[in-house]
Amino acid sequence: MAEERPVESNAYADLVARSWNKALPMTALWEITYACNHKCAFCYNCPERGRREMTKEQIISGLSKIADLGCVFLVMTGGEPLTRPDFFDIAWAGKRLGFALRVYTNGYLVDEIVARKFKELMPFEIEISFHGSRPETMDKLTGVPGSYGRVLQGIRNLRKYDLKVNMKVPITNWNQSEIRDIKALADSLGCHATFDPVITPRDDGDTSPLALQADRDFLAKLWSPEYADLTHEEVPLPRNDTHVEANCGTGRSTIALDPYGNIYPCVQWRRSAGNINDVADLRSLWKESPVLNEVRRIAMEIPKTTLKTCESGEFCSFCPGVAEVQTGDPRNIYPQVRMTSEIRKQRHSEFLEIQSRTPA
Amino acid sequence: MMGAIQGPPKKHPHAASRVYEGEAFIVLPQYHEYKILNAVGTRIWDLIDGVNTAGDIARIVAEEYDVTYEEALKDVSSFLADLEANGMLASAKPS
Repeated sequence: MAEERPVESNAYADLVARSWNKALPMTALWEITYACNHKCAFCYNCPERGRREMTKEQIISGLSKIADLGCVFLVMTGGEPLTRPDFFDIAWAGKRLGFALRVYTNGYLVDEIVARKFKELMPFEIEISFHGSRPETMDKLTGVPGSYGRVLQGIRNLRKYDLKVNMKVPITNWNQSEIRDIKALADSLGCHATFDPVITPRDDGDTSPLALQADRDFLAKLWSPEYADLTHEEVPLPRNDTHVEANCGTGRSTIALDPYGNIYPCVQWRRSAGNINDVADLRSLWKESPVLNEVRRIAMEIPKTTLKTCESGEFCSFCPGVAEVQTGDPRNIYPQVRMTSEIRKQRHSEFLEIQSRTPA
Repeated sequence: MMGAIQGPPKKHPHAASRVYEGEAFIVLPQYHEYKILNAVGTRIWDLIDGVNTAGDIARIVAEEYDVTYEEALKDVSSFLADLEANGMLASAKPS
């Protein structure tokens, strides 16, 4: 996700909290293509067969509307965004419109020339999906033989120019035993690494990717002190809703678009609020769209309803978009969030118990 | 620090910024940093266009904030020097 839940008080966290509370749009995430050179087993994208994706000119025109709306971050993702031959034309247009760029790529096409182009472009961050410390694990998850070596070289090419690379690792039951080695690899490359145990259904509701979720025993270990250096949490803590009223920034701090120009409140919640090609005034749509106002209302209700009635609700990292696609209702607890919140709550209780037995 | 900026100041080409509720939020990708300016800083940031000199900006600030030109020039020059030191102006240290 583009912004972390603002739980501390500093100028940036305060701004993010205000953007959630007052619907100040900060981040636009645009899937500029669904074309991809990987075939990841857990991918959530659902391209519409035969439907034409937006042209460069249409995207640039859309970017100008998003700049006028006030977003400062532009996340360029896909699919694999670098499969578009006009990727750098679009990125530079975004830069000229005053966006700070984040690029989510699989890194497969980042050769020396592409890395040099990135150096000139100077995005704020490049996030590269990485799936294993062993070539066979990564190649199996991407469905592309040789992807491990190509992606690793892509990362090295970017690091040569001192570009900030975040290796983003979705944890699955295929790579869960390798995450410590992936962290060591990231350290050796001078990269950040983030580990995400959340696997989501496909955008059309197909839940087959969930079969790849990390198993319960592993997740119990992940949220123990053993992995604190990877999760940055000594102990799972309950949600801190001091600074924010809404469950998340959906339709408040973020807006998302697909390659056809459909506008969504975020990348997970696929309720279309319109099409960027047809919208003359995005500011009016942002304020008046019934879809956006509805998701904002629901996101505001969730901490007071769904999470209050769930036994481990205070430990839920709840996504209404996933809830809707998986259960048909954005307010319903879904199995993955139930499992992860139960584990986190249990770990928290164990920690408190140990602490209470430890002499002061 | 007065007089540190020669010629009309210009924003660093990598700096990305937007104004939220009267405060400029500035992203500096080359340093992986964010900066947030207060209302007066935001007004000065807004006036930095590669054409206005420090004196031009001070004249506008003096008028809008009811201070003398000399006071405004001192503060504007100091603020521009801070922006430059933080890599937010085009003449800043190379990334």
